[in-house]
Amino acid sequence: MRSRMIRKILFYFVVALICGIIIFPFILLFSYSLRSDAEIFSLNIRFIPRNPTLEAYINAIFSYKVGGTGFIKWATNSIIVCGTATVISIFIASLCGYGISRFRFYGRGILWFFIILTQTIPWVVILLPYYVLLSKLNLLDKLSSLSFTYLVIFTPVSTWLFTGFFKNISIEIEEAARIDGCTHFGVFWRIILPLSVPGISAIALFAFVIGWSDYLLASILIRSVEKWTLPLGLSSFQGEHNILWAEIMAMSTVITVPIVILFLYLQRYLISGLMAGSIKQ
Amino acid sequence: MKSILGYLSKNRTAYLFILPGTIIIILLIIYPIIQSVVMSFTDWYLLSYKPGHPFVGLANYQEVFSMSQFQKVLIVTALYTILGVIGKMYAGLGVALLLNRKFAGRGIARAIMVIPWAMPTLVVCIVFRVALDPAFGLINSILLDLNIVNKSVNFLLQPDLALISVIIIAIWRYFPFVALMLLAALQGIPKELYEAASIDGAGIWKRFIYITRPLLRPVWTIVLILQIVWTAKEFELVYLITRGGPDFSTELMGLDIYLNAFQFYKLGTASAEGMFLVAFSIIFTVIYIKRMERNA
Repeated sequence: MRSRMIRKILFYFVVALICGIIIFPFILLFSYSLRSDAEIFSLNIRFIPRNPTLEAYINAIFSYKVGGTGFIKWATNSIIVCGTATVISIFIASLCGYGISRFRFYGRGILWFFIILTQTIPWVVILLPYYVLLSKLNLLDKLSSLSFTYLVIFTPVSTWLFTGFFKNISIEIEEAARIDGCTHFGVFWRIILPLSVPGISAIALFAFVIGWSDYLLASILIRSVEKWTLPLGLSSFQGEHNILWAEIMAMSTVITVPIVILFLYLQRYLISGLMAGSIKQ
Repeated sequence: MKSILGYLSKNRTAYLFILPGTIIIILLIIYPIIQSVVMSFTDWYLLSYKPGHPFVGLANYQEVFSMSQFQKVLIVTALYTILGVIGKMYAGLGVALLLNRKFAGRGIARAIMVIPWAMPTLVVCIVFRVALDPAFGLINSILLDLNIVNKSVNFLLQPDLALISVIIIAIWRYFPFVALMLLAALQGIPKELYEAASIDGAGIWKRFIYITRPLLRPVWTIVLILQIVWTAKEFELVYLITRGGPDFSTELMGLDIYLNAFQFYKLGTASAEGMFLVAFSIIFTVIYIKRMERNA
């Protein structure tokens, strides 16, 4: 009895330790965001802020401006750019994934190979000619090209996940609907899509977050301040001469928290969606 | 000709479904990859005054091999990949096994696992750069308090430590993902198997070897393949923490390609170097597809 108790305590201790390690940077981020710059640089280092203050949040969201634009503008840009790309790519990818999972056609194998290749190839390699192409077409420094770039990135990854996801949906309902005279597209639109809402939202979130957290592509494609997305705005806090650490932490928290909440909310679907899509088809 | 048209019309519905996606993938991903192969054989220096991009044969590849840092880049990439993948897979396995039982608070523990994954890379890098700072970073202060070190360590400015630090940060970032995937697979193993084995007198270790290991293997292999390619092509995380320094000690291949292209404008050389990673990812794509077919 005693030894069972000790084992139980030990078990909880190990679980708590692991959870602590996993969550530590996130808590640290939050803790830093409640401090003043002076306290972050203080040599008397503490985990819990001495005088918690929301000053950094107010500065980062309302006061901080680069060339007349600030947080609100960048957040709007981020939401519009990633949102548009997500909606369109989910539509295209669900069609494509459905096609691959339900039909046998000439070229299916090679298409599947290309889709997986896009997931294993380093983006840098694609980026070089893509960048040259955009600069030739005079499409650099445009929000629409950034959104289009995200669309191009989201489409294959979502197709990959959708293909496995649809394979797990039983085909019998569809056959029944087909016999009742529904077209293939009708089946897809009226039966499959409504059935897949949780899966679709998980895949959409997965795609959206790629764009939402992207710093590098945006930094290569976008120059003008009024077209910045949130990660570009965030990196501007690290100026040449001074780094506004507290504001950086506050803005990082603001960027991260919505995603964390959505991830927690959709966690179950996210895991099963990714499992079905990429691991066991 | 007639038979091809007949074939296409028979599969018309299928082609209509895949058409938009296929156009995007071929035009904007496959075509640039081919373009990149072509670029690797031409003189593509963005700041050059020479018009056009003459064919130069294998000169770019020769230049890659003659780069003073190239050998180091290969070693760093190999170390980062091997140690990182081992760390992610086994930490993930350990945590998955730990969470694969009912206990109060399991839901919370699982929820916490998605947090590193939800944090944007830039944010992760910012937090760790501050936490690892020798003067006002929390990690040094903890190590000093626990008497593990007796003076502040400059993690990101000492070559060996910098590499170890980024490997550990990468493991921290990705092992919960591995754990969640393996946990989902573990939960698919029928409980009756374990019960039957217990009745036959099998202990924890035997049950792991004879039930868990073989039944987990298909998922384990797929996750392993994906982790290998994803780790080998990593670049954003390390770039934003160390920029490849100090003294090329964290200069991963992906990072070296990026710097050659977007900092030194040597697009030809960068493409040639990229071909090594392309070959690597083609090999692993084939392995992945073969494995999935076998698992299905």
